[in-house]
Amino acid sequence: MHGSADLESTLPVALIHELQQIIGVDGVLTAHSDRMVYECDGFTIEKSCPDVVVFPTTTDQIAAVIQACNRFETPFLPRGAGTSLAGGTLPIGGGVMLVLTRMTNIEEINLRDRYAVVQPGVVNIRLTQALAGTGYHYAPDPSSQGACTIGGNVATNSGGPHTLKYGVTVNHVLGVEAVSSEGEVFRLGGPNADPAGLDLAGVMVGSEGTLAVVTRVWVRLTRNPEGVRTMLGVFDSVDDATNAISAIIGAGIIPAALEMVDHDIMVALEEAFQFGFPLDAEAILIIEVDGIEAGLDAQRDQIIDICEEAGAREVQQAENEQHRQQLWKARKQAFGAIGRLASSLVTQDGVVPRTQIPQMYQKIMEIGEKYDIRIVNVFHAGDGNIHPVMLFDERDPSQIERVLAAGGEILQACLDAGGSVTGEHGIGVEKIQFMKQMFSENDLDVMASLRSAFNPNNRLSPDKMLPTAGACGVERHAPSKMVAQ
Amino acid sequence: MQSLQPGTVEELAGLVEQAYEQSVPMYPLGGQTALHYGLPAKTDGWGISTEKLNRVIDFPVKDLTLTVETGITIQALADMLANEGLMLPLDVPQQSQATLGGVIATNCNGPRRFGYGTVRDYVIGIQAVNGKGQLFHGGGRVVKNVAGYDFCKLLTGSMGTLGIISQATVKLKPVPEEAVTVAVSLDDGATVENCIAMLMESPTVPVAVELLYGARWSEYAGDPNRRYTLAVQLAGTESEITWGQQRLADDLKACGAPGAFALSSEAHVALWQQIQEFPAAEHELTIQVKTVSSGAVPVIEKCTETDPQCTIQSDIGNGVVTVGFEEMPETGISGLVVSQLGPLATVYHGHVETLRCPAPEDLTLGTMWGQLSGPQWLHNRVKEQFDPRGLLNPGRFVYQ
Repeated sequence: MHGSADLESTLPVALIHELQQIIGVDGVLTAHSDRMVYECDGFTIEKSCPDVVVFPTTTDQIAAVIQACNRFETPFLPRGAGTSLAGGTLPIGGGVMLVLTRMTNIEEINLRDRYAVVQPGVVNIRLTQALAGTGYHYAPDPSSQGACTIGGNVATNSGGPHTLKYGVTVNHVLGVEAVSSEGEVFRLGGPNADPAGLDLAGVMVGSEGTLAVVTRVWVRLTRNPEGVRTMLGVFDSVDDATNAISAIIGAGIIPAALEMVDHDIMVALEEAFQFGFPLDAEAILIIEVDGIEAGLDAQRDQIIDICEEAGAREVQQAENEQHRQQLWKARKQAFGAIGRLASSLVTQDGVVPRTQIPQMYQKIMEIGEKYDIRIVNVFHAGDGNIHPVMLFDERDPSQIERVLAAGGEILQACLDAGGSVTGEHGIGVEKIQFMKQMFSENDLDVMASLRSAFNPNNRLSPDKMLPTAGACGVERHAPSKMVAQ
Repeated sequence: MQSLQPGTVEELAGLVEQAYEQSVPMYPLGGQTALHYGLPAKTDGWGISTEKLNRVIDFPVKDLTLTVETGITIQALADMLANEGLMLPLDVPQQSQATLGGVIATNCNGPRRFGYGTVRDYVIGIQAVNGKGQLFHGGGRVVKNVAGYDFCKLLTGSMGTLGIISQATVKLKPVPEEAVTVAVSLDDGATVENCIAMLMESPTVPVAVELLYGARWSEYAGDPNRRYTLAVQLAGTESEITWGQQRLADDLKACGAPGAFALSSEAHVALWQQIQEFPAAEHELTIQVKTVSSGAVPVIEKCTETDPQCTIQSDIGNGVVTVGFEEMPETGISGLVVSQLGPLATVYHGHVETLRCPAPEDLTLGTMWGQLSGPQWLHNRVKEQFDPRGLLNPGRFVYQ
């Protein structure tokens, strides 16, 4: 860690010394071999190594680091666990990376007023674990919740299967403390949901670390439901499954979660988890309803009827809590299991109006055929968020080209259907070229003006999210294996 | 003041651009039900009305979303949604006049926020014209979307100071099969607090929890001789409601509040109508204290101590306390808001706003909006970016 032998950082020595004084030498990585770990996140296609990596433990340290970066006119950016799938923590142009994973305290839990205060490095699932037995939980549950941090969730406005009913991260963030791009500590919102002034805490959520560095978060706590029913709908055709999804939402039922997994992913899941999935089926739906116990059987029966009417072979119900947990474990680790199917994979994160899932699925499969790329699918189907996964061999350059073209065509199809290119992963660097297709010149201009209100020198995480600033300078030509949601 | 009614968003953008070029102040107008909310305008300018911008752009019923121009009244919107068994559960006063744009700009929320959330949870796409005449949008028409900065959050509650909101996409909810009110009369703050703490955790998941004080509410109280009426709204299927009512009555009794009863359906409708309209009702002085839930009882007790004749309606599960005074308290507005209630609200992480007062010209930033959350410089910088000449609703909001 202290190795000066391979000190290759191009930053001024004076800045590095200052950082070491602020953080302590134990919290500063300068050796290239150490810094290389941080050259990318879950989006591994593009890489850029930070010049120095620091591990602050307090808000004051973060403020001091940012002030130093400003004095030396050096770019900087925050990073949580690095599970971003869009390159949100790629340090374009190098500079100083602030890794916040040492700020892991849950500072307050207030059940009476339903909020908790956490530091940004708290791993998502730790908060819900800390709440065990209280009757409350933290609702946003991205599949990476065992690793990702709440600070990172705030940056990307993370979702997860249960956000269908309970909302995404922004619906659960009451306030943030942050350090401005010029090094000033400030607070927006707090325990009370109605702060005076603009909803700037709401604006911070999903800003992908480009407005300020979040150092503390006030989150809403959600009451555990009294009861839950989890079902597994088994379908002999994907079309029947997607039509069932459309019919459930169209009937005005908002389940807690409604997920679809197609045959090929199911096979991989079965190899990994031996859950007992019906391997001869073409698609399964995981459907969960929760709420007042007295009403759940009726909701379950209604959903079973809709699925059967859509042609479901059968609808099983999770027998007990253990069985339910196994099912969710399998779903949330789907992408780990897909690694068995191919040497490399890339996933997309498009969204379509939720009743258009059937048409979108067909479109995806047509695009896969057109480019001769195998695509398997796992969808947050209830809110129209698709995750088609393209399988390929990165040693074959022609496959890489076809994967990029197919991915682009899928996202364009989402836009054509009135949707979005990202439901929960973010723009980062990955989808920056799509911003011009989704937003007008005015839209992007106004977004840039909002950024300059917060981040006037554009030193904080430059060249992310908005395509207006100079080219990002990274060629996109080598998709490789990605761990995804 | 001259009032202009653009017929299309392009016309709207053109008007704003013209005003920008001539540096004319602009006052966005919806249904004009909340003109007294915010500091009074001090300079003349153009009123820009969204009255003619009331078209439905897209209503894919089965996607549970709706895209409309923002001049549509909440009543027209509600009627259209009710025909499809859907709702936008925001409880807006003066619905036949109030517009969707005004509701978003003022972040107008009511009692059912406890179960259904607030404006910011429903607006998923937004279009507006900023102070330079740029027509821009954020979000989209799908329920999950993280592309770009969240202008929906930025414009919700921005009081027309960053842009004139011209179109919005909202999420919708199915109308529940049934709704019922369980009410009980209570005497003291300690029992109220017991009941609220229980209701926060209740498996019956109420959609609204209201604490009411004052003669106006006595017809709904079981016992008019007691100080407070607690009204809890449950919504759901018949079996959920049947179970919930009984469970609530039992749990309230265990908290020291026996005698809970279900209102007749007529009384239920009348009560929630009256609660919804209360913040807009005529009083000499109406203030609103917004704290965390546990701050509500201390705030309410302070207010009744100051003036036992006041009327209170509190979304107590969310810590929102609206107080109507028939007479100006002896301390005057600043004594009440700044000296008495302000510090108490601060203890409970909140602030005080003035909704209606006899001499609005005497209101200050402090008495109107209370303690600003977030740095002044950041608010000012955002304002400068969206409205560099300071023409949108000048002087009415928190910038200085």
